Formats: sequence, C-alpha cells, structure tokens
Amino acid sequence: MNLKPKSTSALLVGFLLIFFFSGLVVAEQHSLGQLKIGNETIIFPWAMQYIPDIYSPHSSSISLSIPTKDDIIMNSTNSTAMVQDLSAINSEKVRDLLYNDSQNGDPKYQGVFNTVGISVSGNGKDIVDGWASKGPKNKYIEQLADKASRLGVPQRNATAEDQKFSSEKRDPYGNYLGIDVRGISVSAINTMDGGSAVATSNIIINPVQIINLAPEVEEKLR
Amino acid sequence: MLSVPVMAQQGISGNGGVDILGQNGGIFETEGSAFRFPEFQDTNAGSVTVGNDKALAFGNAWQKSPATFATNNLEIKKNQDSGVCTCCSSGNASCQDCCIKVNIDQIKIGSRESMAFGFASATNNAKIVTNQQ
Repeated sequence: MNLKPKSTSALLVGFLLIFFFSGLVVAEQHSLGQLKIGNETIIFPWAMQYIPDIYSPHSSSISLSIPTKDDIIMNSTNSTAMVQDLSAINSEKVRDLLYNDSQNGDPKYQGVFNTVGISVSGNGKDIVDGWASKGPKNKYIEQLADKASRLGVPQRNATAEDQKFSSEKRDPYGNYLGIDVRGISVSAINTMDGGSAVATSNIIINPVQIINLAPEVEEKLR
Repeated sequence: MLSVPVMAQQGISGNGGVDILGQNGGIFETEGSAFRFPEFQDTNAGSVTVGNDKALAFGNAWQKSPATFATNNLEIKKNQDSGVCTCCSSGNASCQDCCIKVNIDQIKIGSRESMAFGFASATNNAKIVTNQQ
C-alpha cells in the first residue's frame, strides 16, 4: 500500500526531468555554437548540424552576410581620415580609400605655393612598438610649410617691379607635401567548413602638386 | 636643376627641426643628416610615413583550400613639380636665383605585419612611387 504513492511521485519527477532536459536541448540549438560580436554572428563548427543545407560542406564560398563595400573619397580640402579596423567574419568586406587631387598653386600666394598634409590613420596607430608615437611624423614638413607661409620665401629674382608686384609680403615658392598612413588593420575570420571570409583594404593616394605660373606672373617674377 | 650641394657641418639648429627658411639660412635637417642649400630656390619637399599596419587571417583547419583572405593594399604615387623658369641675367644685381631647384623627399616605412592561421592568406602590399622635378 505504501509503494503506490512512491511510484507515482517517482513518475512525476521523471516526467519533470525529461521535460527540463528536452527544454535544454531546444535552447542549445539556438544559443550554443553561436557567438555574437557586434553585428556579426560566428557559428562554430560543432554547431554546423543545425545550419541549413546551404551551408553544407559541398557548397563553396558561402558567406553568412552580404558582401559590403565602403568608399572613402579624399581631396586637398578633406585630407584627413580616421578609419576603423576592417574585420570580416564569415563574410566579405572591401574598403576603398582614394585620394586623387591636384594642386596648381595657391592663388593666395600668387600661384607659387602648394602645401597639403594627407593623413590616414586606423585604430591601432599607436599600439605597435610605440613606433608611431616616436616617429617624426610630418613635423619638419609642417614646420617648413608653416615657416613658408608665415615668413614667405624670397621670391625669385626679386626686383623693384617684383616688390611692387608683391607689395610688402614676400611670396613662398615651392611644393610641400606630407603623407602619413598608419595603423591600418585588416582581419578575416572563417569559422565555417565550406565558408569564406575576405577582408580587403585598398588605399590609393595620388597627390599632384604643380607650380605652373601664368605668363604674366612669370614675367613679373623674373 | 641643382641637387643638395653641401653637407652642413655647423650652425645646424639643435632642436631637430628644420631651418631652411630661418636664421641659419638654407639648412634642412632630418633625423640622420643635415643639408645646406641656396636660400633662393624652387623647393619640392615631400614626406611619406607608413607603418603599424596589420593583416590577419584566421581560417579553419578542415578547409580543403584557402578561403580566408586578409589583404592590406597601399599605393602612394606622388608628383611634385615646381615648374620651369628662365634664368635671369647675371648682370642684374637683383638676380638671386638662376632657377636652382631643391628636391627633398623622405620616406619611412614602419612595421607592416601579416599573419595567417589555418588555411588562410594574409597579405600586405605597399607600392610607393615619388617624382620631384
């Protein structure tokens, strides 16, 4: 008589345990084997059995997300850029940065002076070896351009006519250019069998500085 | 065109700076050396500093072929042209410049690391072309 309640309670406990563990298994299918980093989700290999057929080992070059492409355009008026680390996790990402500009003489200096500082820096710019922080950067170019613009370089073959032409101020003459690219980091992580990850950073910097005086200016500078 | 004519032996500014336009009259000093050149010149000065770049690729070990690529491409192509001029007459007392040109270019490449794990490829490409005239 005393055995019946015991067997009933044991059955109840058994059902509860089965229900509990089955719930865990369902939860595992959605949470374990996946790691969320920001907007990216890494699916670890041991979770592959829960991935739909399109991610089977027979499919090649499959990405979890749509390939993305960023374009950054720079010029002499927008010559500084800070970029984030480029990271592709089971995906394809491309970033193009292009500086393509020409200076033909600053009118402020009667077309005889060009200066520009181009800087592209990433997140890790000062991390490795302290190289960046110890480096000369473009200090001397900055100083040089500063002095040139502040003091002015004696203009060529100065004559009384020239002095009249340029009044009190002497004009700097030359091209001054500094380019600084540092701390650009690119990483690609592939965690899927048959998957792919591609991260590409393209930085193209093509500055041109030309002093091409108009004939009347050239004549006055003689 | 005249390249840098004389190595400066003295009178160099001691703070590691540049004094091509200052009191020392035509001295350009960099980290390792200093140069003196005529005070009246057509100058092209350029500086390129590149470094601390990284490319990292983590592929899985069971991949049959590399499908993980991290590529860091850098191309710098700069042109500086200080123009042409006609040399003035030597009889002219105010003629201080006979179209002398000075070209200064300093390029420094720092560390560029690439690391690949598993079936993966990590590449750093750098191409630098400079022209001064």
